[in-house]
Amino acid sequence: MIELSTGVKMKDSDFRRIKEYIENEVGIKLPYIKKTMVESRLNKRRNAVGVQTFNEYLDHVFAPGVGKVELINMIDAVTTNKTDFFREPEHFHFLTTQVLPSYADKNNLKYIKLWSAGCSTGEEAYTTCMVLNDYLRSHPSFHYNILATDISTEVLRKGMNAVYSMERVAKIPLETKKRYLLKSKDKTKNTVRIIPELRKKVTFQQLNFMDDYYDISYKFDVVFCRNVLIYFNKPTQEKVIRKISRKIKTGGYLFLGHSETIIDMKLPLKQLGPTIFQKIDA
Amino acid sequence: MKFTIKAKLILATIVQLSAALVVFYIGNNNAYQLNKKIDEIIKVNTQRINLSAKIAEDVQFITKREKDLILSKDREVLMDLVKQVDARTEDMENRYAELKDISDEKGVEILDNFQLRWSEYTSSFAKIKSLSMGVKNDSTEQLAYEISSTTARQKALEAVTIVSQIVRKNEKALEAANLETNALYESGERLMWIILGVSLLVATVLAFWIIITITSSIHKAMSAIKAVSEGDLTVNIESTNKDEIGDLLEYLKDMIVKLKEVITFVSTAADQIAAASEQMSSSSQQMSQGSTEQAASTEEVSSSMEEMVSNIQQNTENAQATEKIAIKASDDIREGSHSVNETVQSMKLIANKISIISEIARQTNLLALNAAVEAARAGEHGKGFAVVAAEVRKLAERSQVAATEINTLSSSSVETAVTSGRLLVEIVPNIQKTASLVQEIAAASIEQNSGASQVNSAIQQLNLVVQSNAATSEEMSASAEELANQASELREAIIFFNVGNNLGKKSRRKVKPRKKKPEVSEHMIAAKSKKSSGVVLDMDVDDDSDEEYEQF
Ligand SMILES: C[S@@+](CC[C@H](N)C(=O)[O-])C[C@H]1O[C@@H](n2cnc3c(N)ncnc32)[C@H](O)[C@@H]1O
Repeated sequence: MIELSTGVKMKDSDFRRIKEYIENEVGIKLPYIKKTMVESRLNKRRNAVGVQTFNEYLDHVFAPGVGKVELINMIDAVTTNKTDFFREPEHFHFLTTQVLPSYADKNNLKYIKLWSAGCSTGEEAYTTCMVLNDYLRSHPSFHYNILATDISTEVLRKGMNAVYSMERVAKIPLETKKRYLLKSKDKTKNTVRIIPELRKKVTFQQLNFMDDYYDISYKFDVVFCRNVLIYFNKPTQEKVIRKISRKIKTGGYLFLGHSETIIDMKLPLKQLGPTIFQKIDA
Repeated sequence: MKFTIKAKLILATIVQLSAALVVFYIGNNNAYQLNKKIDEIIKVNTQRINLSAKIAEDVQFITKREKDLILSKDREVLMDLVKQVDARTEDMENRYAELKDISDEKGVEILDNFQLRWSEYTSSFAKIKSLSMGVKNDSTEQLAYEISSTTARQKALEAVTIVSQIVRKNEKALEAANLETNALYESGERLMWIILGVSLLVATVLAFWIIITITSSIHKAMSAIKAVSEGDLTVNIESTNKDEIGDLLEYLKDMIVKLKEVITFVSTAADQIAAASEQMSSSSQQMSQGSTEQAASTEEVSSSMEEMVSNIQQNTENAQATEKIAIKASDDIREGSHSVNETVQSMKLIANKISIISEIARQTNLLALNAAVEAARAGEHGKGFAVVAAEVRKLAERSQVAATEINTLSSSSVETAVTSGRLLVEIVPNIQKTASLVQEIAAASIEQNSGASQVNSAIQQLNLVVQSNAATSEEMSASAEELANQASELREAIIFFNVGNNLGKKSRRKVKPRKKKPEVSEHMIAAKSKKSSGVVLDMDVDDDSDEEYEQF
C-alpha cells in the first residue's frame, strides 16, 4: 500500500513566527497571502527534519546553537530564486554600447569590477561574463571580475557548480553556447556546464542585504540588483539601495529589475533610462 | 478697444512729455519775451539814455570851449578850440542822428525841440566864434561874453534840459519795462505752475489708472497661477482686461484647458493602470498561490510516485525470486517423484528380501525345533543346547513376526509411495504453470517498473516546471505588486491636480513603516560570522567534475 506523504497545514501562529523573523532579518515581506507558499516550501524541510508539526520544526530552527543549519535551509526555502540567462537583455545591450566603450583602451588597461547583487543561481553573473568576453573579442582589452552574492547558500552552491539543464540554456545563441558551455558526456543527464575560464571570473559570496554594512572592501563600476527589491517593502528597498550605492564608484552604473524604481528616494543616483542609473557625487 | 499696457504706458509718457513740452514752450516763450524786452531795454532805452547823456556832455563840452574861445587870445589856441568844437559838433550830430533813428515819436518831437534850441545855440556860438576869432577888443569881447552868458547860455541850457528829458523819459520807460517784464515773468510762471499742476494731476491720474488696471490684472493672473501651482485646475479665469495680462490669462486659460485634458487623461490612465496592475497583482498572486499549491501537489505526487516505483521494483524482484523458486520446486518435485519411484522399487525389493528373511526364519524355527528334539534325546548333555535351541526358535519366531510386519508395512508403504509418486507427478505441471505465471508477473512487473520510472521522471520534470512556474509567478506577483504600488503612487501624484471631478480619490494603501531592526539574532550569526570570516565559497566544492563534460 502506497502512503502519500502529504504536507501538514501551517498554523497562523507558526506563520507569524516565520514572518517576523524573515521580514526583520531577510527583508522579504510575507503578507498573510504568502502562507500557502511558505507552508508548501517548508513542508519539505519539515519532512526532512522529521517532525510532525511546524511548531516543532520552528522550535528546531530557532533552538539556540543547533538550529543554525536548518535556519539557513529555511531562508533558502523562503527565497524566490527565479532567474535566467540573458534576462532583461536591454541591460546587457546598454553595457556593451554605453558602458564598455569607455573602458576599452589598450593603452590604459582598466579593471572593471561588477557585482551581481542577489545573484540567485548565477545565470546573471555568467551572462555578464559571456557578454563581456564577447565584447573583448572585438575590442581592446580590459580586465574584469564579478562578485556574485546572495543570502541563500543553496543557490550559491548551484552557482558555483555552474551546471544547468539543457532547457535553461535553450535560448542562448548556438555560437555563444559553443564558446562558453560544456555539455555532459552522459546524454541522459542532458546538462551543461559553464567553461572554467568564465567560472574563474566569478566569485560567489554570501551576503545579506539586511546587514548594517556590506563587507566588501572595494567599489564597483557596474552593479546588477535586479528583481530583489520587489520582495522588500519600500523603507527596506531604500535602505538597501542606499547601502548598495555606497559601493558604486562615482559615475558607475546600477541596473534594477524591470518593475523596480527608486522614485522619490533621496539617493545619489541619476536615472539614465528605465531601470538604469548612474552614481553621482553625493 | 484694446488698451494694452504698452499703449497705456505710451499714453502716459506722451502726456507727460507733452506737458513737459508745453511747460518748456511756455517757459521758453516767456524767456523769449523777457529776452526781447531786455534786448529792447538794453539796445534802445539804454542807447537812448547813453546817447542823450553823451549829447548833454557834448553840449557841455562845446559850451566850455565856447567860454575858452572868448577868453583865449592866442590864435593857435583859438584855432584848436574851433577844431575841437567842430569835431565835437560832428560827433554830436552823428549821435543826434543815431538817437533820432532809434527814437520813438515822442523822442523825435523832443529831439526836434532840442534841434531847435541847438540851432539857436549854434547861431549864437557862430556869433561868439566870429567875435572871438576877429580882432579882439574889449567891446567884442564884451559882446561875445554877453551873447555867451545870455542867449547861448540860455539855449544850451534849454538843449541840455530837453536832452535830459529824453533821459528821464527813457528812464521811465525802463521802469515801465521792468514792470512789464515782471508781469510777463509772473504770468509765465503762473502759467507754468498751472500747467505743471495740471500735468501732475493728469500724470497721477494716468499712473493710478495704469497701476490699478495692471495690478488688478496681475492679481487676477497671480491668483490663477497660484491656484494652478497648487494643483487647482478648476479656477475660473475670466480676463476682462484687454491688455497683455489679459492675453496672458487667455493663454493660461488655454494652458489649463490643455493641462486638464492631459491630466484627466493621465489620471484615468493612471487609474486604469492602478486598477489593472492591482488586478494583475491579485491574479498573479492567485496564480502564484495556485502554482505553489500545484508545486506542492506535484511534489507529493512525485514523492508518492517515487515510493510506488520502489514498490514496483520490490515486486519485480519478489516475482523474479518466486519464479526461480517455483522452477526449482518443479525440478525438485520431478526429482522427488523419481526418488519415490526408486523408493517403491527398493521397497518391493525389500519386500522380496523380507520374504527371504521370513523363509529363513521359518526354516530356522524348524531347525531349532529339530535341534530341541535332538537335545532332548541327548538328555543331560543336550540340556544347554536345548536352551539355545529354544532361544533361537524364539528369535526365529520374532524375526518371522517382524518380517511379516515389515512385509505388511512395506506393502502399505509401497502403496503410499506409489500414491505420492502419482501425486508428485500430478503437481509438477501445476508448479510449472505457477512458475510461468510468476514469470509473467515478473515480466509485467519489469514493464510496470520502466513505465513507472518514465512516469516518475515525467513527474519530476513536471515538478521542475511547476516549481519554476511557481517561482516565476511568485516573482511576477511581487513584480505586479511593485507596479501596483507605483501606479497608486502615480495616482497619488496626479491627485495633486484638482480638475473638478473625483479623480483617483481612492485612498492609497499605506505602507506600514518597518519596525526597527531588532538586535541581530543569534540565528543569523551563523551566516554573518561566516561572511565576516570571508566566506568566499570554495570553488572546488563542485558536485560535478569537468571530466564528465565535453565541448558543446
Ligand atoms: C528573484 S532572484 C533574482 C536573480 C537575478 N538577480 C535575476 O534578476 O535574474 C532574487 C534573489 O535575491 C535573494 N535575496 C532575497 N533576500 C535577500 C537578502 N536579504 N540578502 C541577499 N539576497 C537576498 C534571493 O535569495 C534570490 O536569489
